Amino acid sequence: MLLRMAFRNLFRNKRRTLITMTAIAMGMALIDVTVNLQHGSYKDLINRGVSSIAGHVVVRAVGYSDEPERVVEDSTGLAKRLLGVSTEAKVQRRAFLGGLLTSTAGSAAVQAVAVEPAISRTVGSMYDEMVEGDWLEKDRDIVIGVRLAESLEVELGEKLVFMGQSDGEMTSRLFRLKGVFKTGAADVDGLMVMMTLPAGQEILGGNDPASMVTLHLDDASGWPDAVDAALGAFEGIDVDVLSWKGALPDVDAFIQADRNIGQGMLFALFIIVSMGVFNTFLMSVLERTREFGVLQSIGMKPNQIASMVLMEGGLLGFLGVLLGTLLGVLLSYPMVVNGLDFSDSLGEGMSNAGVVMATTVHSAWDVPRMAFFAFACFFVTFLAAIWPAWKVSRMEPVKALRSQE
Amino acid sequence: MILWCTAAMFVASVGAQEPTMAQLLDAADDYARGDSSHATIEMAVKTKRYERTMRMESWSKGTDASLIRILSPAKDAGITTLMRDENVWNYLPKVDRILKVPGAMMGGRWQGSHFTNDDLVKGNRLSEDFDARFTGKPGDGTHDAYIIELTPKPDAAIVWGKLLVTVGPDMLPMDTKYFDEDGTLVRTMAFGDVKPMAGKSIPTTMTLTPEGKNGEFTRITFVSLELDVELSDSTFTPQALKR
Amino acid sequence: MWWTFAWRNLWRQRRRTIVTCTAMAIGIAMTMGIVCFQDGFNQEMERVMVDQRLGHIQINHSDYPGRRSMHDVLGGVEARIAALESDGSVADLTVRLNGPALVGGETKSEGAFLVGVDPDRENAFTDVSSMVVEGRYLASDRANEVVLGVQLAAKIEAKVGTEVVVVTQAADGSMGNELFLVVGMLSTGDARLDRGGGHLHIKDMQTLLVLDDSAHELTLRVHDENMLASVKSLISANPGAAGATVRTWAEVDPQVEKMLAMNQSMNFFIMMIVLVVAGIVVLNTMMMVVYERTHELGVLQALGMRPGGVLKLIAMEAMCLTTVSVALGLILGGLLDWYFVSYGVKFLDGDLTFAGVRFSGRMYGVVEANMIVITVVSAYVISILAAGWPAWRASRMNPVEAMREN
Repeated sequence: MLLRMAFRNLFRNKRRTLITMTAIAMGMALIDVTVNLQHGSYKDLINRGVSSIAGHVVVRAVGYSDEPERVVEDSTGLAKRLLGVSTEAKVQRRAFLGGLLTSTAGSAAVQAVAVEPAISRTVGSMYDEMVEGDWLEKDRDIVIGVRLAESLEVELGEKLVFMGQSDGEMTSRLFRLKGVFKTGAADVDGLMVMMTLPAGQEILGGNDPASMVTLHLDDASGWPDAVDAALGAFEGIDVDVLSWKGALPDVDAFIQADRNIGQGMLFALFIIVSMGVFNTFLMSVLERTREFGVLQSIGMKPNQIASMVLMEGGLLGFLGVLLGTLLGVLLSYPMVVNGLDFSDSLGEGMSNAGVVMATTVHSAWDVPRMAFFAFACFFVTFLAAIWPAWKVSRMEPVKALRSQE
Repeated sequence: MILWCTAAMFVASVGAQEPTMAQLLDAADDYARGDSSHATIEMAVKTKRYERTMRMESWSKGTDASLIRILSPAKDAGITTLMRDENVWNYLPKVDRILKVPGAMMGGRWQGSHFTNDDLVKGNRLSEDFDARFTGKPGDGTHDAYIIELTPKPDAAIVWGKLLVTVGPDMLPMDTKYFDEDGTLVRTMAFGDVKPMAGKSIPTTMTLTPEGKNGEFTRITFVSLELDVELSDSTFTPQALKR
Repeated sequence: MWWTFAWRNLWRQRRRTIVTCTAMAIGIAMTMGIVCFQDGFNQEMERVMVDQRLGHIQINHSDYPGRRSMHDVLGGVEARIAALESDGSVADLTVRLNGPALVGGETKSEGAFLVGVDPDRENAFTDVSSMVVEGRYLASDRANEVVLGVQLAAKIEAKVGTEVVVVTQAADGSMGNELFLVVGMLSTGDARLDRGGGHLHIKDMQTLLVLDDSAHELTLRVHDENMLASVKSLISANPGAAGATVRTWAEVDPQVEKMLAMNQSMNFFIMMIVLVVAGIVVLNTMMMVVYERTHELGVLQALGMRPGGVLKLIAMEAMCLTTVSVALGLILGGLLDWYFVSYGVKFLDGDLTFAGVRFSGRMYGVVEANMIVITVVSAYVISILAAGWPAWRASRMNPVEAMREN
């Protein structure tokens, strides 16, 4: 009965209800947009960016961080073991080699990444950045950055000799340019080359070596479980098992810093929104003191009136939050699908701690935080109803009736 | 090493009558096996930035080991470069240290010349790394010299498209031209100034001229040359560099 | 008379006015706080980029930016420095001579990119000694000392107090080689320096490269950084920049400039969201205030007040209300700004490494007067707009109808 009354009250004063609901809904929607945009940019960085130089779970030689030349042996065996951790994940082996790349026009110091051709098409490579030629296939193939291709004056199909070092001995190997990539980040396009893992292993020597064996999840959010599982699976084996956070502390710090700042902004936004909601609702109740006096004089108990006010608050909050979430989803949707394109202002790409950052930021649904803010907004409206409800419950009918409004 | 080998190949073949390709390349390889040399050379470098002349003493044994010590100018005197297999070490007397040139720096110029560190150790397996064929012989109507085309074997770690080696009818090398895969000339090594040395008549200068670099060159001149000298293997170790 | 009327009207509804003012004031204060933090963040980012990497203005040989060849040096660098330092627009400068080198420890050697600096100038400019993690920075006078990036030092197994040999390809074709004492290790956040670089005295570098009295780069900080374009042309005319290329930091590294620009547009986006939200709050408060008084306004009109008068009265009330809110907001926002400026905000334990430079995890706010003006003006504009619509409707209403409302 009270609920129906509360509902009818809201409908009776459409204008007031609309104004309050708009305040809640608009605030909610903008918070949702911000939340999803933030979530999307981290997700992109963790899903794609992290894969380009590490993985969600990283298995590498002990002491790798001090001596990046250290490799793990029997990488195939390690990869099999790592694949056992999660059936839905991809596992890839990569080797990193420094060396000299020579063409007839000159030579340049380069950083080579040796990858498994098939899997590198789907995860963590320059496959998506190709601008010319084709991806790696045979062990003679090499794919290099556009700036390097220019400085070495080399064209598709032409020869390049890579000279690398392992155990202090120089080894040279012939390649033919298969493709050219362009990330836009000058340090990547002028320095990085990609070759097949067998080619890299030939230069490195040793028993099936790799610099790291990495696990890549389709949904990065599952990484903590995967790390735990991997730690168990590699117990007693002389390798380091790390999460992406452990392997890329700079990227982790960047995300944390950005998240903390974003959290602060959201908090400030939320305070502004809640002040507005609180204020509007409080006013709309206080203006109705006279009406409550009438209700009381016709036999409604103060407690009942208070419950009714609380219900109105709850109902209004619920409707406002519902509308706001709908609006937020509607506003976020194009950003989830098409992304926000920063390439106009950024022009070319940039890299941070070796991770190439995308120039298009896609939003992603951050359901937990959307839910959190929905609940918080609802709670604030409800809170705004408590004080007047409490006041109403202690009101004397005559005094209330005498009240001007 | 490419300069040593190319020179050595011809030095070894002097005097043979109408050599076959196999003889020619075998001769180069035979020379490489167990043979040794000791020479005094002068290197003149001209770039658009600087000109410099250096005098050096060199020793070599086989195709994969050689040692060059700078005699003058005084500033650089004593700097010794050891090349073995694909590795290069420098001994620096001023600081009394031996440094191995790391892979990423093998593209650097050796002593300011047009030879890179990489050049010094590459091309030392002619018969292994190249397929050879005659494209001209003296008296074939169009040529007055032997012209041998060397094509890198498919898997050889060599960037060149082909090398054209020209040998005069007197069996002395005239020049070697380096082409990229498009057939564009990239650089030329020319041999000249034939003089008697080490009991034979040999070209005593080798001039490397990169294409499209106005007037730049590096010229190596043999001042003296001894062949088949006694050299122990331990001469060509990093530990021996300081001596 | 009208103002007094409007003011008294406001305080007739004390509770409503206080609630509304509080909401608006908190909106203003929060906006001020966010803007203060963002400006502090942006300025710190630009400052660190300028101080640690780019300077405001760089002077190079005209071919150096494109080719980065060792040979493209500025000659007569001592005279250039003297001429630039006597220039009134130059605050300070640092001079650098760069070159690839082979750095060798006892047993291992690595290729490295070394920078010859004047230690005192470099330290005053970039505060590089604060990035020395072990040992100390270079002494003022040349003493065959070198500081190495930590990871490079680890690679060649060099420790503080040991000697390393530095080998370079000198400009005259000879091989420069010299022993240097490792006096310190650098950790700057710039991967190129930390993994494969180091600093030594510019005089030592000049000897190694046989490039006496030369440098690749003169990097300046100017007094008036907001007028870089005109300062640039001023410096181009200085004899210290004769025959050289003069570039602003944005021209030196367009990527950093773009990144900062993107950050600014991102901040603008957030600021817009904040303003829109704050605006909605003000709007709906004002609308509520006016609607609730439709009855009263009807009475006023019935008593003979013209529609224009009603409009005027409400606009004035809105002005009064906003003024009180702004005053309150400025006090609250001022407190917030004061806290950000003096104590800062810690957004990360430790440091943040980004784009080759390192920031502290605690950022301090910066108060920009024009941003406060924008915030205050926005508050007035929004509240007048918010009051205007219902006021206009009320003024056009039939008094009888208006009185019947509510």
